[in-house]
Amino acid sequence: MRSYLASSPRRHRFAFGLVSLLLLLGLVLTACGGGGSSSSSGPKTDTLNVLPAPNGPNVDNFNPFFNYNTPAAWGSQGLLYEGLYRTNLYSGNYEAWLATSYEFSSDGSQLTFHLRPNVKWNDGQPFTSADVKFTFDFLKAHPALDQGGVLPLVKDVSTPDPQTVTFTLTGPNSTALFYIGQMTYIVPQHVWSSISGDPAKFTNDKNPVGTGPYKLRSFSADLIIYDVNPSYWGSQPAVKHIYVYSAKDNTTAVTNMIQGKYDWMGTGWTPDFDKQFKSKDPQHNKTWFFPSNTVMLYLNLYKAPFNSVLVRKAISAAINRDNLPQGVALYAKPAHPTGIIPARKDWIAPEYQNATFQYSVSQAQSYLKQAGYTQHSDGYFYDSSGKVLGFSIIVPSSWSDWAQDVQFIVNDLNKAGIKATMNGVADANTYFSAIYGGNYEAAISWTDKGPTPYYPYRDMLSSSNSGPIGKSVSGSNFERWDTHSAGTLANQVDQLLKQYMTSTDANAQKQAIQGIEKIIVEQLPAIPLTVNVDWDEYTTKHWTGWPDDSNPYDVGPPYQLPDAANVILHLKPAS
Amino acid sequence: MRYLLRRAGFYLIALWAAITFNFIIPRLMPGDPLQNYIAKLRNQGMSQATIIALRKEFGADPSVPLWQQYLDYLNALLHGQFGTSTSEYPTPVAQILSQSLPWTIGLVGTAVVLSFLIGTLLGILFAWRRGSWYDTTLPPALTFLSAVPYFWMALALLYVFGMMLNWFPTSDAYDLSNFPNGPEWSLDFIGSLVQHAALPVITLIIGTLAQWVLTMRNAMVTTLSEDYLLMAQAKGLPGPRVVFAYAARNAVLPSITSFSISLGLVVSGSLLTEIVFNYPGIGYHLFRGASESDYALIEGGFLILALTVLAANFLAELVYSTLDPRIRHGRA
Repeated sequence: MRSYLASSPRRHRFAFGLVSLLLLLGLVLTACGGGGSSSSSGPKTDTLNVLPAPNGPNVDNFNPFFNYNTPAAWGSQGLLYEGLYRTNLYSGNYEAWLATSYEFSSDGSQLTFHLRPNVKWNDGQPFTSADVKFTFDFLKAHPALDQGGVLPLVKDVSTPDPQTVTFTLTGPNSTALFYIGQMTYIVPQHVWSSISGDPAKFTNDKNPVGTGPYKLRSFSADLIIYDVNPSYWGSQPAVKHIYVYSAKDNTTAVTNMIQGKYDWMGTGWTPDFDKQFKSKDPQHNKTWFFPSNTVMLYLNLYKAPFNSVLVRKAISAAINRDNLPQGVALYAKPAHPTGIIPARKDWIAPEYQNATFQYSVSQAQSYLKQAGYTQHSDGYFYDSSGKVLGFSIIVPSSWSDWAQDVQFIVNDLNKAGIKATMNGVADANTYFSAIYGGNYEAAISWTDKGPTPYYPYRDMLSSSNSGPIGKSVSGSNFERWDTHSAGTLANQVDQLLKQYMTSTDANAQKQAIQGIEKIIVEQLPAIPLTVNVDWDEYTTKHWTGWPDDSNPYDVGPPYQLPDAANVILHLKPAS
Repeated sequence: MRYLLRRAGFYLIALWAAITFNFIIPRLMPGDPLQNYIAKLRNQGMSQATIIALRKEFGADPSVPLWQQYLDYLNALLHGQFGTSTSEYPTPVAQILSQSLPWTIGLVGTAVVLSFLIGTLLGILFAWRRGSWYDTTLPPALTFLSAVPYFWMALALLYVFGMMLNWFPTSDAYDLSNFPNGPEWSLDFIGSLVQHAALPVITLIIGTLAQWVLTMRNAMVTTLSEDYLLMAQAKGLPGPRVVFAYAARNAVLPSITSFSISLGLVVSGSLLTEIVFNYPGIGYHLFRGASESDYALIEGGFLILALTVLAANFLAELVYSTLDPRIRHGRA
């Protein structure tokens, strides 16, 4: 205490001054900080700024056997590594890539690729058929990497010469072109044969060696940088550097897009954003929302009353689909009764070309009466045992567009006398467990994308994707369409799917798809609601040549790899 | 010494409880990391062999009994392993934590320290000049501000100062496009860092300032009525000296205690801030980890949180026992 009293008053005044000064400094610093913040995005003539999707921090994984939707960095598929034959998701056409041509054997059980000559890995080594064979052997040795499900198709890979690879398939299979050509990215034997440790934990983030148009410069959770590969086999891209950002949620992403931080992003959009984005610079700021797949109301066919086709028809007729897009998802259109998206309409049978869903409460109620239900004085329908016709529809409540869709559907069904309720589950995890495990009554969910309607149909209807309740389904067979729930109809569908798969003849394939369309329209295994769109927002301030309605050379969303790589190769600097 | 040993024993038990809860709670959450993973792959038919192999990689094999998983978990912790993240597969959790924690600690730590300093100084001032216009108006105003839900206030400030006025950047920890090669030691970089941290720090300070002001002001008011302060003033000591050396030094003890506890919460208190401002700290990763059943990442994050809270409490006890001998001898 003594020493304390001895300290001079001046020292205390000094301390007081110092603290005030520090405070002042802090305030000044923060205030200064505000000054020059908005001037960060000057013209960048050779750099493309991308936000693939607002999915949280970038992941340190450049192993091309991991898909971008799963934990993997954006770009390893398509920018660093390439496949043999590309499938254009817009047109459904096949395009030459690392191979220049392919042919099936006459019975469709052998697929031969002729490789592009003079392709080099970005370390200067030549790309040969040995690398292709190595890639498939590697998958076989490490099944955790076969996430595209290619291996079950392939019996044997042979390399008659350095420019030719022949795949002997486990049976005639026309879909092998898609699985082998597009879904498998070729890795270099001279690098990957000597990686140490578990290949499924190989992050490949140190100078990855690929054939693609870009090389990895650096990774961080906020920013991945790619530089152009000067020895790329194709023509040199105009985009020399790609900055890949990350954002945690839509709000951040849209804010940054409006402020001009990104050239291109794929984020959920509403017309409200147009006021701040498109209206601000209509000449440059654009969006292009391409219909990508159909959203379904899945009914669990293992559970009554959904095993009755009349009940399914009644539910379908009671939904006013025109209201769904008007009410919520403004970019979605009502689905076609076959569930086929507009871009694939060539596959729709002539008799269904102009078909649409008819909204009719009286029709719905007459289906229910046919099924033996009677309407009680409370307005709801009851079965003969006095049980009300009711069920709950699950949806993750955080997926706001679908949650609102379900609210509209519930209102429509209630109006028709069906006691439906919405069950908004807290998170996507609970929802996934329910729909994959079969522990639900009704759910709104997606169908898969693909170059032809075969792929969504197979994923949704192949009986091998189904199983008893409790067993996880594959693909999108959430309704559990199989011989238990659909009897011989399931066999018919399986037969038609097989007809498509084993044939390389376009007419036989079309016949098969049209056969399935008939079953979908008449049996309603799942109830088509609306068409989902892909999110694609971009500005032409620095780069032009984006796909749009006038030049739809490919789909546009940056998260859709490898199509996004194709878009980047088409970009030209704005003059 | 015996007191310290007893406290250490207590903290060991608390640590074990924290670790065990940390193990159990994520497993009570619905969902399965692999299911999530497969759902996101879409459009692809995975073979059974692949699913089995992936389950092994993910280390979330339901066929392994829970007690076995628990023992494995304890064993891994003893060896300093936090496991592999599944939401950011195959990055080790330790790597995610070590890369993101500095941002969180830097941001929230700065905010807590600044808030404590400013709040305590204001508290001293208000108590010294109690009854003045600012003493009667500012504390209620600050209490009102801290009662506004943090999320709402942060969004509002972000919208007004970030988007409408463009005074502050709206995301990231520094300007990524100007510093593509990451952090560096330069004046420009530090400027960018401060500029990006300013708004989040201000929101955090606004949210917590009232607590420090009120604690300090009330303690000061009590201390100021002591006789020895009257004596100090009576013998003509200068005002600032009476305030700081005589009154504040004694009144600050309760604030110091809650300050050490706040420091422990620095790691956790950031989730909302990081979400609103897209700041690359630990909350940024936990946010996605929690929604994808990433057990290893959630466990690692919360373990660090539990450890810092326990450590801060232990520190507070040590400081107290030094400052107040009655506690040390168990006579209080």
